[in-house]
Amino acid sequence: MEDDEFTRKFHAQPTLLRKIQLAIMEDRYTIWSRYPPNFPDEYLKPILYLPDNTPVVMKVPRRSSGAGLNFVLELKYMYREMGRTVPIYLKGYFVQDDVGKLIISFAIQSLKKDGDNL
Amino acid sequence: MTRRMTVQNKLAAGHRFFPHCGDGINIMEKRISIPVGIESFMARTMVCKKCGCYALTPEVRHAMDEWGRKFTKNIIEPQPVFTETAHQFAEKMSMQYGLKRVPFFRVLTAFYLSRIVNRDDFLELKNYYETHVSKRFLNEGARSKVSVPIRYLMYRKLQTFSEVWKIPHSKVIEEAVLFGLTVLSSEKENFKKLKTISESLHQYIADVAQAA
Repeated sequence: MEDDEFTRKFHAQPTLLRKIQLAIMEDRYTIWSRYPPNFPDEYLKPILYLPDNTPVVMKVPRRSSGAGLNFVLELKYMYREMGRTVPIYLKGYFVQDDVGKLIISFAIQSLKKDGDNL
Repeated sequence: MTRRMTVQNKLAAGHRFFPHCGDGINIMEKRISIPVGIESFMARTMVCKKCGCYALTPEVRHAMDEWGRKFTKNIIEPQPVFTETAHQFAEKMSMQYGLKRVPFFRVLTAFYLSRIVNRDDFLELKNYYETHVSKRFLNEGARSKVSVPIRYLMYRKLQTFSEVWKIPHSKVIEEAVLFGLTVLSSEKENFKKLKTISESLHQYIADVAQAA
């Protein structure tokens, strides 16, 4: 899928959750990691099956020092596999091109469980 | 591949603001070593010089997965500990299928991680075998450890289970093997579910033994 088509689909999604789901389904996400990755993809799978009313918080772009980012999102959900429920916190933003017209991908800044990095 | 390179380049270009350090001036493309078990996967990707964060882009993730699947060495080699009774029973069962003991341990672990842990009644099964049937395997005879080499695909499942339950790899294998041995020795037990699982496990081992 080309960037313009992805951008069109991105804007067509009715909710922020659907926008994140689109990025995951289209494999347009990057995880910024400081530690060994330990297969974080696994922990993104439940996002695809979250109900439409799952709250996604959009952060207000910062104004104090330079331009902030649009589409900075926070999401909390449960990973319910392997007989245990693990609360997951995800924070990321949609990377745009230089002129802010095209949506390129979803950059995941934080993917944590219980305060620990996965 | 062309599309992915485009995404990576644009991803780098699109970093007006870096998630951890606040700006993009410290971002550079660099060859890095990503630990996978006791091995390392080498990749070229964006790295922040300031905080050390690196980007797991789609192409890095795909390349890592492809590398792991083709990797012929062991990714980890946990050393679970079993009692003499457990070792002897495992030896007896593995011989029935023409398998050696360590490959047999791997089969039991694969069965546990692929067929048991995602069942709706997993906690009930786990509780039952932990509190009842497997006591003789836990307590009878001297305890000794054994090395169980694990390759990439099983490592992925083992790693996830290990993280979710917060236990080391060796403990996961112990749990899986003891569950398997308990199931295989459960033919006279009253817990019907274990009998059904026992039939399924026998078939699973037979299929693996046939393929081996």
